[in-house]
Amino acid sequence: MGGKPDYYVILGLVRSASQDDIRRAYLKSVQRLHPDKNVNPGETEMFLDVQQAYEVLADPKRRSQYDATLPPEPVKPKLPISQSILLSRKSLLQMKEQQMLYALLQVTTDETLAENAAPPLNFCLLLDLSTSMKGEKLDVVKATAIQLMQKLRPQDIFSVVTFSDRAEVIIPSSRNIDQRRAQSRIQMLNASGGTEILQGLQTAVEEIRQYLKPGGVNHIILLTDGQTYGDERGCLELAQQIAEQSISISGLGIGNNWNDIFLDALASRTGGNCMYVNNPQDIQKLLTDKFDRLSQIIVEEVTLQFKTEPGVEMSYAFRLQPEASPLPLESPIRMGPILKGKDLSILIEFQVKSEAIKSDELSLLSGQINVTMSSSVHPIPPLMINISRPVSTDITTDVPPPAIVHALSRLTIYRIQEKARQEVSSGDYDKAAEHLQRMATHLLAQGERALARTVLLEAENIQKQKAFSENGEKQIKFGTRALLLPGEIKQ
Amino acid sequence: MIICPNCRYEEVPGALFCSDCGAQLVFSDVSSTTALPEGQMKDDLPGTAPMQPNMTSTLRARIMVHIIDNGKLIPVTDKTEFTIGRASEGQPITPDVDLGEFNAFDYGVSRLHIVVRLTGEKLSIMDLGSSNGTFINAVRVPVNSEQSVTSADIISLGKFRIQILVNRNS
Repeated sequence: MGGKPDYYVILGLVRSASQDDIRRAYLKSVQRLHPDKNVNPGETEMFLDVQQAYEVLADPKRRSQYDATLPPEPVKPKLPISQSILLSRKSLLQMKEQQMLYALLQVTTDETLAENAAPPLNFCLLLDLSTSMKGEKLDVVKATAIQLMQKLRPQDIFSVVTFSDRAEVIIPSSRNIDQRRAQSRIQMLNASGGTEILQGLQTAVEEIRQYLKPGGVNHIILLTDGQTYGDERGCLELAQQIAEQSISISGLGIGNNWNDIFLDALASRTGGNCMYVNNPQDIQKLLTDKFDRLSQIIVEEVTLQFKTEPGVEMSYAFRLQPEASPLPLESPIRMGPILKGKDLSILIEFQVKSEAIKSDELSLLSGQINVTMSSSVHPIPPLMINISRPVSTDITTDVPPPAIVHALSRLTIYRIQEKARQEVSSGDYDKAAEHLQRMATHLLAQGERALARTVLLEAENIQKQKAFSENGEKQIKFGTRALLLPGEIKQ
Repeated sequence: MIICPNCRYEEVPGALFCSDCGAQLVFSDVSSTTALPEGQMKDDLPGTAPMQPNMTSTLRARIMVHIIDNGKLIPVTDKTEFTIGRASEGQPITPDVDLGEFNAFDYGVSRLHIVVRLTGEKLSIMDLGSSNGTFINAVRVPVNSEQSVTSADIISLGKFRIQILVNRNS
């Protein structure tokens, strides 16, 4: 890049940015580059550039003078990140009833980004040490923790926190941990007591905060096999808070007794995901895979800030890739990170009420996608997003994009599972069994014989026992969710 | 309001799958509706491109063959009488609905296995002398005799299970 860098580029702004946007972008950059905190050479100079850019842009008079000197804004600014949207219909229909529309939102990174060094990890293993973890589960967890420690790169920051009735820091947050000492600390872990997740979470967050870098990969992996009592609300509130500081959580539930709905809610609030293992032997694979994914992150965080028109409701949102997970529906949606070579893709369902349709064009959703990528020299300006469709009076037969149909064929099975689960909890056992049988038909159709068998057994079980079997409920939920994973998508 | 042809569940317009039974309501998987395997097309009709099924006709199709093991629906257009079987090379007569691409041979489907007829509202099938027989809900039917069936019946051609769905709205 020749000449003087553009002040807007330095702060990661579009030229139409409001004074508020400018202030926010400035504060974010300052957090990242402040001389008291920065570590990399050259960052102090960048900090000075940021100061200068802000001084000019924050003053409306100086800003307009500056704007006059700028060459016209390129029509399509070259950004390393782009978004694309596929919609299930070409147009909406002018009619008196409610209608639906699906959108597949993809955020893609430039190929050149793959060469960027993956940002260092700052992550904490938060281990459940309640009595129920005794035996094989804890043995595998210990062995895996030690194995993960050996995979750490010199720049990674690692800590281990355990919790039962109280929380304890086993390995304090640091780089270059003393492997031998850390190993013996882990070997000595003993399981006893209850499951109080909030205490553990608070302690883990404190460890992460020791080295908190806004925009870095700050991640907590929570392993648990039990339910926490009474502190769910506290956990969720904490998750909300830390998500704003770019700390994310993923959950790994072991066995049958943990609360998957709670753990899903906890993780998805922060852009993380939730996993399930039935057999303790699988813990190792899941955790190492998770670690590998964390070290492939190139864009730390993508959030969707949006509003919908009155009468338009976002009724479902699901991340298909990189990690399948339902997403919360309130703006901003934390869509999670982007991994090397893997687009981020989200499927959104909209319900459109008839009163929303007033003219011959309806904008369903408008907003922006905010991207945090610390390896980029300048912050990335937000990507504007607007989903709109023309309104027509004729019935047209659209052919929906195959990618949407494919994803929905899997997601529909997952949602029938959700339906069956609700029916069991409200006592409608016959209906639940019927839904499961239908699911099994589709699973067989997709070649998922083992899962189909589990589902059929469960349908029988529900009719006889009036409840899900011990592990059937979670096996089916995470089994059908796994169908949505990228590995399963074939063209 | 759209009604799921499979389970009669009422869906909101714009839905692509029935949220109650999972049946696909709008078809996009073009490849599943081509009747003939591509290789054969080329052999028989050099120089012609494979037929592109017309989407609107797919949607309007009165009768659909539902393959139970993979959930695919094959629309049958403009016909109230058609044969089901598997096309094989060198055979002059090909069935209207070819199951060849779904491993029909391994499941014991004959080349001309059954004929399906829709007279008025009445649906019937007839085994055309297949090697492995035809079963309605697991009960074997005699050869060359017309048997009435409904969309709910599971028809096995050898071991290949199908259902014949009729769209009463069109």
